[in-house]
Amino acid sequence: MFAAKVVLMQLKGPEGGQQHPHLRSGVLIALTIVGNVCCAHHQPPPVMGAEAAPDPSPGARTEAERTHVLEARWLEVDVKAQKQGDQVVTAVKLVQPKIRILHAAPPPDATGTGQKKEGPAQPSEVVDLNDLLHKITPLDVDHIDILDGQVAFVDTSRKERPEIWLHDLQLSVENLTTRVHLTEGRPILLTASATLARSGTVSIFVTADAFEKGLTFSGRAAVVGLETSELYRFIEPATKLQVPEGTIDIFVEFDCRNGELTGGIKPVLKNVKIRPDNKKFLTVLKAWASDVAIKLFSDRVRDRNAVATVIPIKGTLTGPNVELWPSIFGVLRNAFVEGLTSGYAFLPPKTAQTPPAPPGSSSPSESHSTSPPAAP
Amino acid sequence: MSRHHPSLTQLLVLGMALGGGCAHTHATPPPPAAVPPTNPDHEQAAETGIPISSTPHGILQEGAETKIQRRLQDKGLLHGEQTEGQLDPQTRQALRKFQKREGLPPTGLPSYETVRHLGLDLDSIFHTVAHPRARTDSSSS
Repeated sequence: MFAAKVVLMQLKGPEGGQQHPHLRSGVLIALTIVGNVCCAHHQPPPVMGAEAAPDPSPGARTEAERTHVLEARWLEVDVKAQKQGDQVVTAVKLVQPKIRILHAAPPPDATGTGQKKEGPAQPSEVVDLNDLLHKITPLDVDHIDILDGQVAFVDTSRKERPEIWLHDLQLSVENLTTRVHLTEGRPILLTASATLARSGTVSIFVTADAFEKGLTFSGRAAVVGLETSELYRFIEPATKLQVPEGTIDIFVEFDCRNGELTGGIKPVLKNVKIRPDNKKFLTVLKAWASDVAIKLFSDRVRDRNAVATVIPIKGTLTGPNVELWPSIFGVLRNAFVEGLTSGYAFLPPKTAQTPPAPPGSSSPSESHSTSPPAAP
Repeated sequence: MSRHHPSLTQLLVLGMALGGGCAHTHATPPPPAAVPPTNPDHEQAAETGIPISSTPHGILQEGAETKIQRRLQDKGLLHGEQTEGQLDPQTRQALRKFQKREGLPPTGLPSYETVRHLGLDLDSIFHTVAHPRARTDSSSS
C-alpha cells in the first residue's frame, strides 16, 4: 500500500537566472510528500501437503504482522534532485519515519542444536530498500537523511514477542552513487545516532565501497548505558533469568573485505543483578553461576561492578540474502548472555607469567587493551 | 561499469544493525587476545583504493579535526580551550548543535553534508583518491 500527497513542487533554474550547461548545485526538483504508508511483504510460505506447517509467527498479534516484513510511515518526505555535471543526483529526507521490522521466521538455533530445521525454505527477510526508495522517487538516490525516526524490531517468531525500539534516530547515508566517478574518490558514509529503548545511547559510523567485487565495508557501533531491565523480553525467554538492575554497554567493530567479515562485539555489564524467574533448581544455579561470574570479573571500581568480554565476529557475506534479523536478535541476545558466562568459562584465569619484554617492544597490555573501544 | 543499489542499500542496513548480517559467534568465545586487533586507519579498498575505515579519524585528512573545530568556534559553538584536534565529546556536541541548526541529522559525526555546510572543501577534510577506474568511467560517460 502506498499513498502520497504532493504538497510542494518547485522547478528552479540556476541561481542568478543564468542558464549554464554544467550546473552543479542548482535544485531541479524539490518534492515534499506527507502522510505516507508503505510496507514490504513476505512471500507466502509454500503449502506442505496434508501436514500442517508450524506457525512461523506465534507472536503475531494481527494478520498483517504475519505477512509483513516491514511497515513504514512518515510525516514528511523531501526529495531534491540536483545536477552534478551531466548526472542528476537525488537526496531523500525522511522526517519522523516510524518503521517496524517484523521477523517471522524461526531463528536458526531454535532447536538448540545450532542447526536449521529441515523443511520448506523460509522466505527471505531482506528488505529491498532500493525498491522502497523507488516508490518515493524513480530517480537513483544518492543521499538519504532520516530525522527523528523510530525503528522497532519485533521478533514474532517467539510467542513472547521480543520487541526493541530505536527512537530519536538521526541518520545520514551519503555518496550512494551508481557511477564510480561520482564518488569523487570517497566512500559511502553512514553516520547515525539514536536511543535504544529508553536508555541506550547509540552511535554508528560505517564506510563502504560499492564498486569493489565483493561486499566491502567497515564500521563501528556503540550502545552505551542500556538498562538491562529493558532487555527483559530478549533475555528471559532464552535464559530464564531476570536482570532487574544494571546497565550494558555494547561496542561493535566490524570490517568486511570482499565478503570476508571480521570484527568483535564487546559487551560491558555494569552493576548487574540477576534473579531466576522461578524456583527450579537449574535456573537458580544458572543465576547463581552468572552472579559469581560478575563478582569474579568485577573491575574493582568502587561503586561499579563491570564485566567485559569480547565476542569475535567471523563469517562470509557472499550476498545480501543473509538471514539478517535472526542474526541481529542473536547478536543482541548473545552479547548479553556471553557477557555473563564467557568469563566464567575461562576460569581459572591465567596468571601473568609472560617473560619481560625486550627493550623497545610494546607490552601485552598495549597490544591487547581490555578497555572498550571508543564510540565511533 | 557500475553496480546497482539493491546490494548496496541492503549492505547499509547491515551496517545500521550493529554489524549484524551473517555474523557467526563462536559457541565458546576465545579469550580477548584471540580477537583481531582494530584495523589500522586509512585502509583502502583493494580495487578502487577508496579509503575504508571503521572510525571517522580513518577517513579524515591530517588536521581536519582542527579545521572543523575552528569553524565551530567561529560559529560560537565551541570554546577555544576545547580545540584539541580530536572529535572529543565537546566537539561532537557542537557538531550536533550545528547540524540541528542546519536541518541536518544531528548525529554529532562529520558527514559530507555537514562539512559542506561548515563551508569547508571536502578534499581538504576527507581522504580522496583518483582511481584509474574512476577516470575511465568518467571519460566514457
